[in-house]
Amino acid sequence: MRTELETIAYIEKYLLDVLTDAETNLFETHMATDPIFKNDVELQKQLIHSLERISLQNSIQDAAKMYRFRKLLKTIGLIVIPFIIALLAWYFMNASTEGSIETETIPTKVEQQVQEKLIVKPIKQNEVSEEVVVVPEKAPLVTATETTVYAENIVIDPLEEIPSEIFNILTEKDTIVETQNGIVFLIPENAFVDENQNVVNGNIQLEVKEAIDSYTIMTAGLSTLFNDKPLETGGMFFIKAKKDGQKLQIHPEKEITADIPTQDYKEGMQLFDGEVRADGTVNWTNPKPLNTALIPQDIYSLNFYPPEYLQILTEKGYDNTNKKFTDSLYYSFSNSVSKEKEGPKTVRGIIGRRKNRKPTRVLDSVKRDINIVKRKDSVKSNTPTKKVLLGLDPLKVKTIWNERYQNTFIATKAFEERLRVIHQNCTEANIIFDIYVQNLDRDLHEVDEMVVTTLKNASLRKQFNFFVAQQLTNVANIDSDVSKLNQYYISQQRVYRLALEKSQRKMDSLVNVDKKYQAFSKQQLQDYYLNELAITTDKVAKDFGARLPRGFNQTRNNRTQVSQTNTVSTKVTSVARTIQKEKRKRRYRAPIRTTGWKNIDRILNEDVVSSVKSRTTTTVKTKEKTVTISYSEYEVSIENTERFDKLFVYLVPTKFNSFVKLEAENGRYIYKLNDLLKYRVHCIGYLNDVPFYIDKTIRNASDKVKLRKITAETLRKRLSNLNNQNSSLETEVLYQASRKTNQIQLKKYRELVKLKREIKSVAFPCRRTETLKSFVNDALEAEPVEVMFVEEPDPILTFEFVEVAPIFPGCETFESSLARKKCMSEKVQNFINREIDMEIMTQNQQANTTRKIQTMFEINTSGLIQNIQVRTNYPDIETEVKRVIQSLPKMIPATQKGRTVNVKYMLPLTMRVN
Amino acid sequence: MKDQSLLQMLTSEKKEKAFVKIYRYFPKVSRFICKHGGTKEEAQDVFQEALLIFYRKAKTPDFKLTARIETYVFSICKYLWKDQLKQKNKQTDAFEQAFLKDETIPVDIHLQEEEKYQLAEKALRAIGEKCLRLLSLFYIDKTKMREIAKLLDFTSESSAKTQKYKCLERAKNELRTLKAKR
Repeated sequence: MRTELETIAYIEKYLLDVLTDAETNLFETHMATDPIFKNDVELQKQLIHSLERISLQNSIQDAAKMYRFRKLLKTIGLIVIPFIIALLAWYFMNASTEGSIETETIPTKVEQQVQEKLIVKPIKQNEVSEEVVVVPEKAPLVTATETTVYAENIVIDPLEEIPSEIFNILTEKDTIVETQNGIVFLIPENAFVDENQNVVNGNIQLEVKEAIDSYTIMTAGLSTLFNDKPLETGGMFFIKAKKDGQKLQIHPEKEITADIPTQDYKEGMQLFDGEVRADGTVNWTNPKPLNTALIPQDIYSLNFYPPEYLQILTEKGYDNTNKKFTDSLYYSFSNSVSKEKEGPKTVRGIIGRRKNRKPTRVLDSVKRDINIVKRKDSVKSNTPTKKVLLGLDPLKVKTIWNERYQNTFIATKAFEERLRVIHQNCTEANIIFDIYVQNLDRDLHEVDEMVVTTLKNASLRKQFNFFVAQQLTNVANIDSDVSKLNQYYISQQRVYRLALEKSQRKMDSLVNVDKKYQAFSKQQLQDYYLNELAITTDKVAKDFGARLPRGFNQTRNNRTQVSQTNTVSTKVTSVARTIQKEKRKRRYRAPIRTTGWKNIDRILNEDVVSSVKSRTTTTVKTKEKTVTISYSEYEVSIENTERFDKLFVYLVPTKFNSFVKLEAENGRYIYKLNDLLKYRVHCIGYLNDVPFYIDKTIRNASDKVKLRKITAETLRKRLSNLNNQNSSLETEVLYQASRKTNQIQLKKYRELVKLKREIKSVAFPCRRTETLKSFVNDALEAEPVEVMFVEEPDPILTFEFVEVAPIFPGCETFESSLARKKCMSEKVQNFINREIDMEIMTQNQQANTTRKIQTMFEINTSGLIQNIQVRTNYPDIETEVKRVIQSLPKMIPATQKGRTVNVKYMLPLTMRVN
Repeated sequence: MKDQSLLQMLTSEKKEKAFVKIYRYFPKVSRFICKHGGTKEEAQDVFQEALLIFYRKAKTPDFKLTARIETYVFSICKYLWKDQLKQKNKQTDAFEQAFLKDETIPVDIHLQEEEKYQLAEKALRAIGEKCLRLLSLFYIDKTKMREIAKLLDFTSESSAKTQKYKCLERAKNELRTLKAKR
């Protein structure tokens, strides 16, 4: 799709609210920074809004019609009803016997419907298709679901034992028909011609007979013989096209594609034409290889998650069909990849460096990833190994799992299969993944091959070698713009990462606020009691006439002045602080005693402390005097308690600035007041986020209060007026107000974190073995496994990706590197064509067939050829190709960042025998 | 009929029925507009626009009916007609008086809200019947893309989808030029 349309699709998603939180975040950031984009969104919004208007107008117009119709009916009714009444009266007067009413059934004719679906473009070839069988020569494993067959020409009589299916097809359109047994025919438009090679228009009948299961094959008496040799069949079918009874042929330039379903895919299946013999049996001739083109599927129907990911979510009781949830959960793991990899700060660093990089140099940037890991690793020592384990970055998966990659080989079962393998690898997963995504324009087996050459892990290489052997090509009709996706792939990863970081930061700050509140709450309660203790102690001391230590004396002296200046609270707080200080001294440095200490010791009587804590009336005695500290119970009840979502009751002593929060016990708010203090009670209730409030000074032993509605702002003002010095109650209420909403989010977040921890091993299947390894290592205190990373050599760059490609003799004159690359490709091609012995190359090759041989070699740092690989079953061919390639002239070696490097060069050879 | 139940009908799924019911007030509007220099067709247009605005207003969550629906709709009609007269430069004193005479609710704010969508509507009407149908099937009737493809004879779901985006693009461009002209 074009970019404009992409944008529209993107905005649409936003407007329909189908984006995930992170994506919405991203979208809004984009909107905030780009006024043109914002305007765009606004326009689209207006359009959709007015669509609603239009539909409304329609229903209003319908209503208008209805209204007029009813009016008409009324008018008619006024005339007609009397008439009918008259008629009925007349009828009954003449009443005679009546016949019954006969019902008539209308026979319905059901015609077989032809499904019209997607346009699937065929490749070359022509000829008329009739009967075909698929037969394997060998039978290796491979689990693909479908295989494509190209029908060929040959005339036989339809086998009457097999029932036909007839499809009516309009030739002007691309059509897809599916038979009962699931063979799918893709018929391009104007695919049929009559005997005179004129294109047939209009409706035609397509007759299909199929024999897929062995029962049908046998009962129909179909043989599976190829020149009297038995064949293993993958299904037979017969197709024939007619128009008005006249037989049709397939247009020479068109081609019908048939997809035959299979449970177990076998390699080496071929297409045979059927030839009816005189005795009525069919001989199968003219075998042709099947097409290995990939069939793209709806990308959303594929599963790119790690294996078992969905399964474990179901086990844990989550809805695994909710893709929004499963997606955002999986992608959020990306945080853990990058965090463990480099820590959040470094991530930004890498992104910054990547920014200016060209998409074609991905291998290079991938290499950087490795370098970073390496660097960190070589510092190593005590860092546990699991910190550097990677696994496939979920953000990479996110980047490709969308509309843009529809109809590329990403959207195929084959890629899904490869991805499952990639998930299993920790160290090279990201590299392999990038290679696939960066080479969408190549055939899949070529990319497989590239992967194989980059891989260092032997068992993994084996697996990918196996993929190479499948020889899968690309999806048919691949868009030439596909390479543009590279840019998208790189930039989008960055964008996703930033968005993810942003939401993570948001969550982090929420957690922080919560932590802060806990600390505040604790501190404030401590303050409260220390203040109360201070005042109580003060009183006791006064009554005893004891001399306070310097700090206390000062306070007392101040207090007399203070009561006039009205700043009692600060001074009292300072008393509290002194006590706290003294208490600490006492606790840690008990043996050191000064003259003043004796008094304090007596004043800071354990009894006083415990009475404040336990809030029971206590009498403190000394030799001469007794002092009683008394507490009296107070209860506050609130009208309509149950109406509020949340209720907070605070007691604030008038003398100092801390408060105590009352917890409800069986719906009652009770507290024991210190008789030395005067309190005010503040009640705050929330109903649907609307605050209600009352405060009053406590005079009686119990109060009944009614809360009144208040705006959040007024509430805040009232609370801040309470104390112009330090408004801890205000802080508390602000916290509570914001906590209410945050708490839900936090709870969800914590659950999510827990879930993530539980399923981490599934999200990164590769870590299961690796963490075990590191665990064992930790236990034995052995060398960590990081050797693995350090030993990782630079992957060999391919010809396409290297900064300065090798220069073929004669290509030096070209200025641009692109032209030089092109020159080299041409020269190499010409060289091979000239030098190679075609006789060897085409040995055992049948006429009119094409043979493809994949070759690869390296151009080393001296410009010489090395490491030639030829993929063929014929040793002669291999020797010949190696001979020719080895004889390529010496080139100027490639350089990357000013250093000469080895590069890989892939060269597919195509031989055609006419 | 009681206004409250009518309002409920309007906001629930039976809005068509409610529209038919509200149409009872049309003769009054028609008479008023014909008296003040309009035709029956113009009255019809004004009334339909008024119904639309009223419906939109009624759909907002904090909507409270402060007057009878009749008064409400009639007021909207009067405002709408006033605007049209203003555009034609035909505003008369008689109209001004009639406008102020009986109970009229100030609803001009709603009208302004709707105005910005009228351009967008124009743009949508300019992009062709099929496009409009496709878009309303998707956005209003919430039909699945697959069914839309079937209904409108697209070869596949994805081509219908692409067509949808193309339609949106066309409408957007149309709207842009319309805006530029103003």
